[in-house]
Amino acid sequence: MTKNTEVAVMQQNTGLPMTRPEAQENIVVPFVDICETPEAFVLILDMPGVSKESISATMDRGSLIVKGSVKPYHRENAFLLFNELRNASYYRVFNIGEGIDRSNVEAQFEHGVLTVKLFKSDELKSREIQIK
Amino acid sequence: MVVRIQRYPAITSPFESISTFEQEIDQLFGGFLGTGAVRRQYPALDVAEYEGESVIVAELPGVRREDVKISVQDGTLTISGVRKETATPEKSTWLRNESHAGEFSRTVQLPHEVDLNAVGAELANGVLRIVLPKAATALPREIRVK
Repeated sequence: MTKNTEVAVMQQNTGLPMTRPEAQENIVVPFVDICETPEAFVLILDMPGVSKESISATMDRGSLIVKGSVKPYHRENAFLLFNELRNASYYRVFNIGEGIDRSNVEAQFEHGVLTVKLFKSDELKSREIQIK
Repeated sequence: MVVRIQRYPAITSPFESISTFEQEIDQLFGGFLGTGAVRRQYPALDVAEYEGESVIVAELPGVRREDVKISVQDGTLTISGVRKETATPEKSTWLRNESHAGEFSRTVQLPHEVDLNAVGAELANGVLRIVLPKAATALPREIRVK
């Protein structure tokens, strides 16, 4: 486990790397599924091992920052015969474009999965145009 | 696919024989999928050993208790089940899909003889913990030297 490492975080959709010098611990980027419904964009993030209290989802200007911290999976005296799990905090940043109503965001956490609903502002919703 | 657990020092028990043929097939399969990197098994897991027991920890986000099954047979343990897709309303499109939905199954070799009556498992926040107490025969025993 390396401390004091700079972690480069890729911003979604822009490809611009953004470094976070304050990242002191191991970071895991959670997998995400993104779904678009007529009313909203739904982000489904896999964050197993996190407790609801330690999750934070922050909308900061054009970025949605999702964080969650985990408790260690094993006790101190464990001898790991097999190790695939990172057991590290989750962190992911999403670039939120215009057309999202930034004050209307819903989030739910269940079974280790965080679901964030970003409701579209009126201009993005498709509208039927009446033909006279 | 069966995962082989290496124990050091290498005093191998008779229960630990996975044919090299099977391992070769695993590697072949991994390579065939492109990039050359072996495809990650799902679910990812850790096996931790303590003095009196072993604990298997697996990450199963989005899986409900009733949708996961653990079975033990012939010195192996199988975690299987299904992760149901999140219900989406009509007229929705998937823009990105990184997670694993649908059925899964993974078999692991048991690291030692297990007291099957005392095995416990719990699933919380998407993490499955299986506690495997060592059978009496697997516990270390002192041999007295006369």
